[in-house]
Amino acid sequence: MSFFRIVLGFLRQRLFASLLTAASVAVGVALVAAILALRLESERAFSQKDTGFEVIVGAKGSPLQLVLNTMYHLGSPNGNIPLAVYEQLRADKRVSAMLPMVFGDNVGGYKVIGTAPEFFTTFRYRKNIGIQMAEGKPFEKNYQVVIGTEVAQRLALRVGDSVTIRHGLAESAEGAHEHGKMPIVGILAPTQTAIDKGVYSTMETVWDIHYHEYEEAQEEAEAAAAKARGEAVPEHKHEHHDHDGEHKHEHHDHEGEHDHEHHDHAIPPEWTTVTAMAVKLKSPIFFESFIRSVNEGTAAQAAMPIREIMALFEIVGNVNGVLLGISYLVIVIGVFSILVSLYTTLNERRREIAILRALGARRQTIFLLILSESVMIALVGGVVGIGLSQLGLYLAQDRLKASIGGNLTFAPFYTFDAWLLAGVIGLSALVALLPAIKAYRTDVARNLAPLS
Amino acid sequence: MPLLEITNLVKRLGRNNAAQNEQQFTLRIPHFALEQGAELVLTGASGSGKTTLLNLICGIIAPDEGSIKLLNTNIVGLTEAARDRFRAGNIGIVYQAFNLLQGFTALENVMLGAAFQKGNVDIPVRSEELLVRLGLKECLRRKPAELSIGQQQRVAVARALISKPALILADEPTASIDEANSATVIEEIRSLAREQGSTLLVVSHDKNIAQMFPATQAIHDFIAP
Repeated sequence: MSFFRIVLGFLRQRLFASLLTAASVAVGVALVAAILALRLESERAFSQKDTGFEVIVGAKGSPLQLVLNTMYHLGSPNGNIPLAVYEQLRADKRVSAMLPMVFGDNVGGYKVIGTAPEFFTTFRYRKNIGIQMAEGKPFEKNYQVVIGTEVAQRLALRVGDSVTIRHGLAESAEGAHEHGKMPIVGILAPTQTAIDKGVYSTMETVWDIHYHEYEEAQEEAEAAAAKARGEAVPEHKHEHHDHDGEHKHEHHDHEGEHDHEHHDHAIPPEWTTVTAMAVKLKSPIFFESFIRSVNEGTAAQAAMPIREIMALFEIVGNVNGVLLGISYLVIVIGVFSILVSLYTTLNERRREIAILRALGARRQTIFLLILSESVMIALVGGVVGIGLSQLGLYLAQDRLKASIGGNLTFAPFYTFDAWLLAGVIGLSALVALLPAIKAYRTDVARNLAPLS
Repeated sequence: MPLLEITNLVKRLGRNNAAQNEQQFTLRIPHFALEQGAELVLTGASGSGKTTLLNLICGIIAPDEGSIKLLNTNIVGLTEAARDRFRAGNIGIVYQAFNLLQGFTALENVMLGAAFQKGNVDIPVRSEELLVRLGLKECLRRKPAELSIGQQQRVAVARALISKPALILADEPTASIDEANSATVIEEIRSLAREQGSTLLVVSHDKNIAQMFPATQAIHDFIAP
């Protein structure tokens, strides 16, 4: 009969108590493993630092909000800035490249990002890894969209389908732009970043549908006012005529998908705003001076994502540390419950120990037996705890994604799980020393009595 | 050469402490020997030192003086760990209170009898065979609490015999069972011991048991006052 089987036999003998102590260890381990996994994965999700653009420029306000909203689609934008500011900064000699972005609409709750075609060629989602197309191609003209992989999966969309852009950043049945229906020309390959959650089109598309909406609202208001004055209702002026202006673009019929034609027309400058700009500087030595010069102005602010995210993690890290500390304490209590269980049952076990000794078990064997029982309970508790944390994270994954944003994915096992398990086992062996020493010292002859 | 030979053994037990109402008892055995294959019943009144003698022989306690040679090995000179190993390989013990482990099945209890003996193979098979031979075929997977007293004693006998020990010590093996079962258990122990070539030393104050053995010796015959 193997030593392991003897240990199992004794654990089986006190099955309920063994399971209870293992459960208390499991709770602590599950908490710590979950918190560690959550911290690691959220840090990963928010450490998208190699985009090829080091600085984000946007409206004045919270720089963290600017970064979170631009990079991770979290929260609301600070506001918009005139296109002129973008053009002025693009002309800055320190700037190597700029990628403008305009937000304000959604498709099924996923943010619409009006941007430049360079987005597909210059933006990096990992170090030196550019955006790839999984299907279709990048947009080539206005009123075409490219969608991220998550948008495609969740909304069951394919290339050739059409989507309706709705006003605002939150999903709503209302607020569909009359002009907002357009075809999907491409689907991006998965990046495991917020890019997967975006709907991409040209900036002009976003401006245009907003301006159209404004024009229509104006016409309706004029008609209502004329009717109130008893005058003849003016004819529908909004006929999508060509406008002369700087921001000319063409809208063609899209295979009958649109109930509205998009003609060339100019959009007044006040409608051509930019929500954020990703900026690549020619050299790191310009970082500070560029940020300073933008921030000193009144039109916009500049922020470095890596700096803002690190500041965020510093704040979150303190809370995380407290949670982690409490969870470690739960583990310690769990492991000490093993000690209590072993120690309190030791007196009633003295006869069993004496029997084993009489059968030829050495003192060291008895010592190891008690230690092994403790380790086995901790091992079962630890493994169950890690399993529970994985199960919990898996079940909460969607909710966490929704609340944290980013693409939060959890691995089935982490290196720290192994360390956690080793730590719990080590601690269980340590606390078992006391009962093991007492068991080691058991007086065989006295505890076998009465023999006759 | 005898299998077991005790010479000039002295073991002092208890403290001469009147406050604790505990008196000192000294067991002195100038000489005692047991030949290979012998079957001996050792009789004596309660408190005469029979159990102490068995504990000394199996090395659970060490004497203050003298030697105990078993299989030509003076176990008094061994370390405690070596005595444990020696006991595991050469001595089987049957207790009055059976001393079965309650969390283990009958089969596991028997297997435990050889768990600490080195180089033992086919123990599960032999344990099962032994229990079947003792009429416990239906009880292999039962825990001691699910067995009758007689069945428990048979499991204890099987455990003592599983490692084929050179010496079997039985301390009042029938004290907890009825007369009908007593004779059966003693016959089973004797029969199995003979088959294995084991020497048998039984401690009992039961005259009926003593009459079943070819040799009986009172402890007072060889202990010194």
